[in-house]
Amino acid sequence: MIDRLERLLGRENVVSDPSALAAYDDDYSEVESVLPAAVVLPTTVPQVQAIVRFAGETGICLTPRVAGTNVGGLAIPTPRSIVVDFRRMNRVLEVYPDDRVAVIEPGVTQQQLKDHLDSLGLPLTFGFSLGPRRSSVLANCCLDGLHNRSLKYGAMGQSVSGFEVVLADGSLMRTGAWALSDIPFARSPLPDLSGLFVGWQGTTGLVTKVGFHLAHKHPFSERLFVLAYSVRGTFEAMRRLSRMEFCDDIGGLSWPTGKMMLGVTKPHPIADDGEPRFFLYVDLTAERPEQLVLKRQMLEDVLSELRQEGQRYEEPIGIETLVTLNPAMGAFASFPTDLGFLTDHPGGGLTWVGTYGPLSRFDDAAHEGIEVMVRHGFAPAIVSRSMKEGHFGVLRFLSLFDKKKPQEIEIVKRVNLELLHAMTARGFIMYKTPSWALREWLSHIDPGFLSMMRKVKTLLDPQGIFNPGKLLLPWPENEG
Amino acid sequence: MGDGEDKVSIDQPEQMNLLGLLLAGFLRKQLTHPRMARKAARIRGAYGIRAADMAITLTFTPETIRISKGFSKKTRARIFGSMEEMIALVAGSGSTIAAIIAVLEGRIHIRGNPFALLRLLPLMIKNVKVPAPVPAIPASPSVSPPGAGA
Repeated sequence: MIDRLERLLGRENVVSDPSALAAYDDDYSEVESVLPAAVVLPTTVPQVQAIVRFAGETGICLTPRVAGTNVGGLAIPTPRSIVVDFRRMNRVLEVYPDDRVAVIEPGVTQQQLKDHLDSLGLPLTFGFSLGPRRSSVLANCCLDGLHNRSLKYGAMGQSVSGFEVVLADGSLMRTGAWALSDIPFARSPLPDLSGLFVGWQGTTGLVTKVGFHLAHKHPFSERLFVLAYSVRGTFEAMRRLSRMEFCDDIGGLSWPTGKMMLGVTKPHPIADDGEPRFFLYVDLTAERPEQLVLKRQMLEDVLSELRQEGQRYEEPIGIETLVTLNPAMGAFASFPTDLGFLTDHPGGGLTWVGTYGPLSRFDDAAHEGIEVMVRHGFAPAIVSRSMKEGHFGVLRFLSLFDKKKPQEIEIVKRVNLELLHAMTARGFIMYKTPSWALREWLSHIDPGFLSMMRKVKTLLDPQGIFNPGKLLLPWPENEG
Repeated sequence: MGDGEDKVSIDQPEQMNLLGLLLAGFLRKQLTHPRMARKAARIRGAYGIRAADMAITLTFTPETIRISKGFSKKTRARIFGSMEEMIALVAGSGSTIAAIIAVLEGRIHIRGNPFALLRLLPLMIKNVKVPAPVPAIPASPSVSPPGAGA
């Protein structure tokens, strides 16, 4: 197999040495590591097509990967499979300033795209995930992750305006307006085939390019933190501010997340009496300074109104002030936001149950999640954000653990399972869904939906070569 | 006193409140500046700080500043205020006069020995600037002008 791959791609683009392969066997999470048989690093689309044809001929499976920073095992290969490392396909191919559309390859990282846009001197930006700077923009599109523009635009898949994909037979397809137009300006008006590659977690094809919407970068901006003293006060503020549609981003970090940011890896599970329960953060942007002043006043009006209803908040504090107070807060002062405190800790393990759900149920869901985490001795680290003008939002429960301690791994697995059940019961759905969570859904998910997914999967990947097991497709009959 | 990281210790950091954690980072930054480190080395005893409902005690020895949760019984002086006022004091203009006006106007309250507080004041309000760390990120390998062909 290795000889054949080397002939197809050149020796320099194939990794087979076991010590080098070890870099591809895991991610941050508790999901078991698996060593691939080989890693290939294509640099061109024809090379990707050759890899897929080779996989089709031999039945060897393919797992796409860029930074390996997933928190659910989605880029962990299956045994005897090939990892397709896209880091060398890292070109920003097009930027259409007037249409605010970019076309990039899978290996383009958040930091790289930001630097590229900055170098062009154009007032353009894009939705940054909370992943590391080196994580892939395209992967966040395909996995429908969230980003700092999610309040306006929704999950990242909504920013996709077209894909170029290598299909199971090695052929190439473009989706959205790109099927007919040279500019991938929208997913409309043709049948929306882009959706076949969003949320499918790499199981339907290998995406080699994405066209997606950039956003205008306003010249004036402000990031404010509001210390809130209750779960209800946090999410009620989030709901009201979302409805008013003047904020760019509204999120909430629970007190343990704040403490982790300030250097405490494992905060005590119980908050002090009198301690704020959430850092509510609000991003405001404007074309003119007076517009920013007005938006700030609107924020303060909402807080005043809620105070009159009995909620308690401190006055908004600018991020610059917080950074002056404690330089560790600098992690939240720029984009991409680098939350190194979650990943660069002695134990190295990070796992979560990250869900999308209705904002109307955030209070109860957060209370229940906090109860589960505290019962297992974890500080309830929550990261939340309103999305799509408050139609829904993200509620994530984070656990740090020591990857070398099997006992801790077992505990985080139990915590995650309980959190998943609690959130699913409230109508929340885990995104970037790990296999263990999908298995839990089998008895709840709409059977018609499941059946259609199977048909689509069979159509697009008849041999099951694309990232098997990552959507439990094809499901064994006795499970489905 | 110097090398901020080593000279500021937190009692039971996993149980420390947000006020103590915020101030720990602030003091570590302050102590990186030799002038501030010298001023801190001259302060002795315990001082209480309360913002909103969170209280901490700073205990100064020639070698270290220890931060503990709550008020110790032996504080030389205590400062109270809303979170807003305390943040304005610490991260504000750095003016001693502004701090005294805040006390006279009743926005900040003090108890205990006000002269002892005068020694503490410069360390707490005269912000030193530290250069922001530059992330080690490789530059974009491909920069194409707008509209360039794929």
